[in-house]
This record gives sequence, C-alpha cells and structure tokens, in this order.
Amino acid sequence: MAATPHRFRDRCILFFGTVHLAFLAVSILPRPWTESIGVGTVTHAYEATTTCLQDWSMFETIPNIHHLDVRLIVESPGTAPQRLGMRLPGLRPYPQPEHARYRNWATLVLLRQDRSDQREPYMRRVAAELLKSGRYPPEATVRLDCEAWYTRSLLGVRKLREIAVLRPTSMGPFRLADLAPVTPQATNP
Amino acid sequence: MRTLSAKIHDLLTGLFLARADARIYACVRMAFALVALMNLLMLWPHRGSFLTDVGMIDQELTRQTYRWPYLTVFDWCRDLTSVSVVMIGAGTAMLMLLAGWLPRLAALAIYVWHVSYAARGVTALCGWDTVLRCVSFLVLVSPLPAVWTLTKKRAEAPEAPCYGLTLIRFQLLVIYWQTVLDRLDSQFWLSGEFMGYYLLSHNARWPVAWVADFDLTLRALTYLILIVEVALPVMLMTRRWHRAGLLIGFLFHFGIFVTSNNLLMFLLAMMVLYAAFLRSEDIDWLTRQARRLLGTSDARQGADQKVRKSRTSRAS
Repeated sequence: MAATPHRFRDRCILFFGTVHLAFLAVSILPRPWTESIGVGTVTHAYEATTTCLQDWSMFETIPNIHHLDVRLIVESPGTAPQRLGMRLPGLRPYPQPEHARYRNWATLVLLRQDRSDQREPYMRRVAAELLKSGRYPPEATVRLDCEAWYTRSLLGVRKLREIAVLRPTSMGPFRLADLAPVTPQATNP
Repeated sequence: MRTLSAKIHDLLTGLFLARADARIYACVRMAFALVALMNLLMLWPHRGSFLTDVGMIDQELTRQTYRWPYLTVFDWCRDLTSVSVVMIGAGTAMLMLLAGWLPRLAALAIYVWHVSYAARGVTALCGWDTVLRCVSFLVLVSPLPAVWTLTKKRAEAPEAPCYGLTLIRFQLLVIYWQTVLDRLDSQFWLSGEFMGYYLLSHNARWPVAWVADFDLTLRALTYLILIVEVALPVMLMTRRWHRAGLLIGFLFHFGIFVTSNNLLMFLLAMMVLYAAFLRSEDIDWLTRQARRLLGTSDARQGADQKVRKSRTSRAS
C-alpha cells in the first residue's frame, strides 16, 4: 500500500519522479521527432543536467560495413615503405578481431564526417610519436590507410558468394616535419 | 466523485512511493556495481588510447564540440599515471557499492566516473556505456537500503519507496520502444532484411555468405525482434507475464551476444536493467535455489518465510 506523501522527502520524490518520468516518456520518441514537435530544447536541457542521454539508435553501421582495418604507412627517403599500427600511444596495430571501441573511433573519425575534426590532431600525434622514436627523419612521410569492406546487397551475396567489397581510403602522405614541427634545440646563450 | 487531480496524485504515489522489497534494490545495486567494474576492467588496457593526452582523442577539440558542458575529471588528469589513479579510485568505489559500504558516496563516485570517461572518450563509446551512465544516475538517486551488505549489520529496512525501480523499469522501456520507432525510418528493418545484413556485418561473430540463403527465416527473425522489443517492457511490468519476460529478455540478449562480436558488455548492462523487474517471490525462489545448491538450509530460511508470510497477509 502506498504511503501518504506528507513528508517533505516524499514530496521531493514525487516531484523528481514525475519530472524524470515525463522526460522518459518524451524520450520514447526518436530525437528528430522530439525536435519536430518542439520539445527538443527541454529534453536536451534535462539531458545535460542529468547526463542521461536517450539516443538509442544503436547498430547504425551494421548494414554497411563488413570489416575494417586501419594502418599507418611510413616512408623514409631511400627506404621501403613501413607498415605500422595506428593505436596511440605505442603505434600498436588496429585490433583483429575488431575491438568495439577502436571500431567506433575509426567509424566516427575516419569514415564519417561526425568527428572528422579529430583527424588532424590524431595525425599530428602520430607524427610526434614517430619523430620521438628517433627511427624516422623529419623528411619521412606518413599515410593513414583505411581499408573498409562494405557489405554487398543480400542479392549480390547470394549470386556472387562474396560478402563484401573493399573500398580503401587514404589520408596523406604528409611530411612528419609539417605535422609535428621539430622544435629547435635549446642553445646556450 | 473523486477529482482527476486526486486520481493522478494516487497514480503517482503508487508509482513512486509504494513500498518495494529492499532486496530488489540490493540486486540492482550489486548487479550494477559488478557490471560497471567489468566495464572498467575491460577499458583498463585501452586507457592510454582513449583517456590520456597522448592518446587518439584530442581533448581541446572534444571540449569545443561536446554536446553538454564538458565536465570531466580527465580535464585535470591527463597522463597515464593520473588516469590510472582515477580508474583505480572508480574501481574501489564499485567494490564499495558491491559490498554496500558507504553506498551513496560510492554511487556518486561511480556516477562521476561514468560522466567523466563518457566526455573524454566520446568517440570511443559503445551502447552499453550509455546504458550504464543512465543507470548510474538512477542508482545515485535511488534508495540504497542496507540489505545484503558486507558491512556491520544495521537494523534492516525490508522495504523502500519504489521510485528508483520504477524509473529504471521505464528506462528499459524507452530503450526498446525508441529503438523500434527509430527503425521505422530504416529500409533495412522495414524490408525485413536487417538480420541478413547483421549476420554479415562487422558485428557478426561468424559472417559467412551462406547465411544470405535463408531469406525467409531472416525476414521472420527481423520482424520477430521488433515484436519482442515492443512486447518485452509490457510483459515485464505485468505480474502474470514478468517471469516469461525475464526469460525471453535474457534469451534475446544472450542471442545477440552469441551471434555478435564484442557485445558481452551490452548483454550485462541490459541485465542490470532487468534486475529492477525482479519481484519478492523471484528473489525468494532464487534464494531457495541458491541455498539448495549450497546445501545450507538454516534457521534463517524459516525467518525469511515468516517475514514473507506477514508481508503477504499485510498486502492482502
């Protein structure tokens, strides 16, 4: 049996519960819908306060991407291109089988435009790490290769017995010195 | 004749202030603490990549583009050592919450952890991070009765107001129903082809071309998933169907886990929400089964039964 809400605490619970429940009720509608009916601003503000993001459009990339691999190619003058891992720090390889967090990073930053602003700082850090290793001169170049395998249509898979098609993309090559300018050695006055 | 406002008042009072079995809160508390700890442990090897300033995510750009005020402890903790210290602190808080020691303080620390790493590692988040962040807020504001704790025994509060459980239950409903509504815009779901593509995708555990031959089965499965996601919250909220709902929900997420790579944490995070749908009789049953397995039929069992009987008589 429910208690009678006489006490201040009970009133607070009722108030908070009602507000949060109303927020959840509105959040059943996908984000574009809430924005079209004009309650988007209110729900955004409440989300910002509680950090309870209600955006459940999971598995967006599933129909498109079958497999992903990302790597760095470094070329020093007069030497053969070298293949390196893309994970910072340490330039470790892109995990295979894929790791959800690295895949999400690669999808957002490299494949889509959502977070493409993160590409340049990432490449600058890569260059800084390569220079710090002492194995590459500032004139060496670095390129980021992204191998995305896109799933064929189901009809295509049935006919061709091939799941996906490779569509590689590259960023670069960039000179290490341009990405991470070498700071001049401190000199004695 | 009762007024509409009185009816609404009664409805809200029933939704938020009705007494709930404190052991259900204990189940949610412990399940959440365990799953959050597992998530932290799985993130630990990758903390350098996603949470430090020598990693793959630029903090200044993230601050500028973050959708909410950029509040994170990683604004101050930027190198590997300090990030490790933060994570160890968060892990300790999770163990404290699991043990029921200073649970409110522990829940606050865990909430800060979830908000912090979500802001700092925003481009490396997964669906279960969002689930855990929502639950961490709800656990923070929920009653945390001193039941099933390892700390010095206090006078047990067998019941607590149910608002925390109600909100966690509705959170599950939002996850399923918003997902279904969102899919009404998707050609892959409406055509019934989604499961075919899913089993060939980067998420699939065994992507093989012959899967595409089972077109009719895959279409039926796609539509069945939509039906299950609509029906589950309703089933879970009704007394008659809630056990079937718990079972179907578990099988549904276990099926996702088995056919997918990397989705163990999603299964576990969703199960935390399911814990809020347990009822006293479920916990009694689970306790009996656990005792039977452990072979401990002690005097405590009799005491529990007496308490349950008195609750039943009060309710009737």
